[in-house]
Amino acid sequence: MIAVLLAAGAWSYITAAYVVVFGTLIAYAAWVIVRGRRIGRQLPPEDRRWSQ
Amino acid sequence: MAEGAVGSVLRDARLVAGKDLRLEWRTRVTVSQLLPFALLVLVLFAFALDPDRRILGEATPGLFWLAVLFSTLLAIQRAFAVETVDGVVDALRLSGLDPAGVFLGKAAGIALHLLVVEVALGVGVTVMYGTSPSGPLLLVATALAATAGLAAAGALYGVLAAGLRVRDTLLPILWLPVVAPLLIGATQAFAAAYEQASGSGWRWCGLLAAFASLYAAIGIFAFEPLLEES
Amino acid sequence: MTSPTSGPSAGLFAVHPDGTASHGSRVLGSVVLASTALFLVLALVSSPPDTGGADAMGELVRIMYVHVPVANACYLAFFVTAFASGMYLWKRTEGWDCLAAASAEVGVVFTALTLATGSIWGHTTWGTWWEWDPRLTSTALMFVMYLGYLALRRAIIDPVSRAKQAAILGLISFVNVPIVHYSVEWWRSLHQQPTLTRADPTIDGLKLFTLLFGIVLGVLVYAWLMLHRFRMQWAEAQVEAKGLDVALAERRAEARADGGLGGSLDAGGVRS
Repeated sequence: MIAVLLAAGAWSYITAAYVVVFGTLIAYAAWVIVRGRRIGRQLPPEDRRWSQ
Repeated sequence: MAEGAVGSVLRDARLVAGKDLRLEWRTRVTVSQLLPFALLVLVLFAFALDPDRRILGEATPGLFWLAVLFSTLLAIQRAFAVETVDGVVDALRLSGLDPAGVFLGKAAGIALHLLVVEVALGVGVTVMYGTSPSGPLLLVATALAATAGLAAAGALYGVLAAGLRVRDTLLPILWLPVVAPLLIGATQAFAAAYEQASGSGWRWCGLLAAFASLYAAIGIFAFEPLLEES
Repeated sequence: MTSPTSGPSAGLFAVHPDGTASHGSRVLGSVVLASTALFLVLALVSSPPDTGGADAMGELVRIMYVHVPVANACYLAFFVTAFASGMYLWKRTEGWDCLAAASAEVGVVFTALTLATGSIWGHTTWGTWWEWDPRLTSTALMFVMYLGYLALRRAIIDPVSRAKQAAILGLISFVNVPIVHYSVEWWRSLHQQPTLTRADPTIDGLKLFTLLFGIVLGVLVYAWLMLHRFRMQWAEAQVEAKGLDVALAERRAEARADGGLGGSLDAGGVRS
């Protein structure tokens, strides 16, 4: 019974946790990809071994 | 062969420590700057916590070791600042001294400085915070073990940061988290000694000794590559 | 966008020509995206709230499904950093150094998330955002330790010297993790048992599957991030080396020009 009463408040904690985790990971991934492209541009294609 | 190697390491350690102590004797930086700094920290703690003998007395072990920690930072910076000026690190590297000996010598120099600071702080907390020392054997053993650990980790991280433009800001964030276990252990052991509950204090003291041995071992092996190109 | 390297599925897996993506990373990325969608459904909708026992967590068990995987990934990341550091000291090749650096940064991100989710979880249990819980405290110290590792990397300019010093620090830091952890745990256990133990509940069935699936997903996300971050690190190292080469070539050209004009003597010393 108590669990049901707690549940309403619980969801705000759950949302916060998921938003923080997925938001941070998406932001970090975007930063890595954008920065990777900017650095890749300064590099001749033959030095980008992974795209061979 | 191995006997000779150990002997030469110890001889080099004595040389390096002796050089630093002679330098200290001539410049008196520790006496004229490190000791006043440590006592100043004690006074600042009293300002922060109100000059209430009860709070200060209860917090004495922690405040004592915090003051030691801050002073150690200065001592490490001092120990390596004298090397990086005028390329003395290059001189140490090319001198043919054993890197393990350089490490032990540096650590011993820092440790001796710290012991002087700790004696002064011990008098300081007794007089200013009104803490009456008890369990002298545990106090001395803890101080020796913790000092050895602080000095070993300090020499190791000191050489890592030495010679960098940002060494003064980098050293604290590299070194302080590493010696957090020492702060915990030394504070608990001192608290046990003050409360005359030395049983658990000796366990903490053992932890401090283990920490010191571990960092001495790491330093002996890691100093050679660190000194090569710092 | 067409890429010269993309295979038959060029439309779906086309990669940016300048970027750090490859066919492989696109495939892994797609797997991660699909798994994430499945994970969110499992973790937030399908799996039941925790009801068994007196210390049941109710709906809050769902926080565990992200907290445990990010904590697991941060330990994995720092293990990879330590391993790559050791390999660098042995092999002295640039790749291991790049791997150590990339993994440390990704690990710091996961550590920050571990702290954040741990703190949110703690607030539901303790009512405060921070409690001197051994795990939370030692994770915070580990966070600062690896921030220091990244700071050291930024502070050293010479690539070889940086790689070596960072490798030594990467190894020592990993040795520190258990020391800090156990000393903090011992410290807290002397004072009091935490009033509300962070119960590791006995979870089973769909809850257990969701947790395990989350841990696997965390590892996959780490792997995908690492593919990109490692390539970025490697590209940075190449650009850095090229930059040094270019600067040296310019010096030499200047010196040659000066020499040709019968110019300064000291510039001649740069010629090699």
